[in-house]
Amino acid sequence: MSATLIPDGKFYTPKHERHNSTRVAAAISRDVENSSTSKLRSDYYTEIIEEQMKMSNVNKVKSFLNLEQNWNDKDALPFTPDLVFKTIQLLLAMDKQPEIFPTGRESIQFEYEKNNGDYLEFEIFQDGIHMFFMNDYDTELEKELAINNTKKINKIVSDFYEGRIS
Amino acid sequence: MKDEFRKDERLYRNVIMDPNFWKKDSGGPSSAIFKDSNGVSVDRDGGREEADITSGFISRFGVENIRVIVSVNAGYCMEIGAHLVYSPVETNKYHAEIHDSPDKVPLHPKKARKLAKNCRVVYANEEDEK
Repeated sequence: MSATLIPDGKFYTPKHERHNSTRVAAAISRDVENSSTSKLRSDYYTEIIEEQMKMSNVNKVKSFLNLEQNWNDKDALPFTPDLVFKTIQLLLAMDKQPEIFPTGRESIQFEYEKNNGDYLEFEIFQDGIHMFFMNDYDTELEKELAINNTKKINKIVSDFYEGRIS
Repeated sequence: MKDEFRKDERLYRNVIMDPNFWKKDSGGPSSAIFKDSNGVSVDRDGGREEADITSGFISRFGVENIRVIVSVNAGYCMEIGAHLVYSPVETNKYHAEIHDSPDKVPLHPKKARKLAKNCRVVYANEEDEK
């Protein structure tokens, strides 16, 4: 049995199938409605998860303030409140949350990784960001970015996930 | 122990418990463990058994401070252009460092990433798995 959505939003069913047209139209309407609802629901859950990750990341970066000198047993310096504050500001503006790690060279590292081995990192220093991309074929890309250039950073992450960096 | 490193020599690194350097998405260490202004500290194998090497780490750092111990091959470090420096200290005659090059200490992100992807876990703290 076939039915076609016509421009006025109703369903068109060929004449020989019209005995069931009402039931078919109702079924298809229900499918359309369900699919639209589940898409909205999925977007909603994705948004909630991103927000939870954002808060968890903010707390993680805040906790770096508790790392004292020599926290890595190799004389690493404590993180400055200024770097932590700038990193949190950046996190709050990011559309997709990264995994975050401190380094022993006074920087905080954001990492994104895909199943195919594509890897993107932003190393946040006091005075700027070093972006580094690499894949399993040794293709690499590096850029220096301003710490407040969140628009550019979000664009790079989006391009990374859409396969536009490779 | 000789200053020169054999290609088949293994180098061991402690991945501390806190902060956490273990990645949720890929289940490996972050390359951040290989980013250090003062050089990446490792222990040379010095002809020891792996069990003795991990025991050495545990007695020096305390089991509660170790999440994982990883090892990398010295030959692999050389292959990616990293520079190995034997630098024994009073408390540890096996201590060595991985530098970016003879002229630069901090590793380039590419070298740090390659080491993170190619290291092997030789010890995992059971407390962390609970």
